[in-house]
Amino acid sequence: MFDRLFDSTSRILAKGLELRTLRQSFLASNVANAETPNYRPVDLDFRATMANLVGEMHRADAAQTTQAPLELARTDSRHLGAEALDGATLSQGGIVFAAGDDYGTGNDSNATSLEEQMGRLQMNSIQHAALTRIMAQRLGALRNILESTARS
Amino acid sequence: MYDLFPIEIASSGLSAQRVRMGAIASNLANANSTRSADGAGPYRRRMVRLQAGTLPAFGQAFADALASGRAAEASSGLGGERSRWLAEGHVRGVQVLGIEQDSSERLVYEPQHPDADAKGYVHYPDVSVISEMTDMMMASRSYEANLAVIKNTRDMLNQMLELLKA
Repeated sequence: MFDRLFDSTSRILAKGLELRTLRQSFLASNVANAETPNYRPVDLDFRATMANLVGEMHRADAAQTTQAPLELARTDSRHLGAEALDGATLSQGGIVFAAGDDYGTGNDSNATSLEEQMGRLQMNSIQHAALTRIMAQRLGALRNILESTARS
Repeated sequence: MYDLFPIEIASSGLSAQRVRMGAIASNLANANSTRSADGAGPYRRRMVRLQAGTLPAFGQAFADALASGRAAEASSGLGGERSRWLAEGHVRGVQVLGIEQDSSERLVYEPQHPDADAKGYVHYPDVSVISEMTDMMMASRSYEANLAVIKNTRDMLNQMLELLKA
């Protein structure tokens, strides 16, 4: 029943929130080690990891139900599909290290740029806020439905 | 509870920077101390060595988070690479490895000084006030950055908690 109540959009949103929180750990690690010699800054490749998880989720759903996956109808061969979300076309995702070029720029072989990390941190929390907002609206919609059935 | 990892990591940064501040304060206060507490020569300049420390619990949390999105049958994909990330433990707090002492000295010719040696030179610690001041600024900037991470993460968690409100 809860599968019906919380559809794949909610699960994707939850996954996104989870990954954003994880990424926060990576960025916090970079800030904490901004002055640790020989430290290599890390980051989570959100886009690729998310595409992977969503792809897996879709494949698992397809395996469990006989229902055809919900797809956009294509009435023209030139229409864009939603292939990007199946994960197969994107890289495996995961942790990204600083590029070789900016590794070891400082005297202490630490390539962490505090400004850059703080910027990423802000962006990450804004994206997180956006996901939370959408999640709140979805929950609000469910609540509306529940309240309307209670009244009638 | 990996939601709190960023706060844990940033706290390790805060305490490391505090230790650094302590060492800097000690160096500045003793820039002209010609005797150390144990009586062996002048004060020695303190240096804090920082080291990236692992958070062992994070690896498991990361695996769980990735695993919870998948069903058992769809276990292809990230396999080998994921175990490599976990083994390497990429997310790190910072820890103080130790406080080292710099034994270099600055000799000043002051024959009338009670701590002058036979040739009239006084051994002062090799503390450069300017470099200590810049170090202090770096430590306090770093402290602020870690504090900002904590505030940022706290805001994120608060937003999540807002979802529970009716």
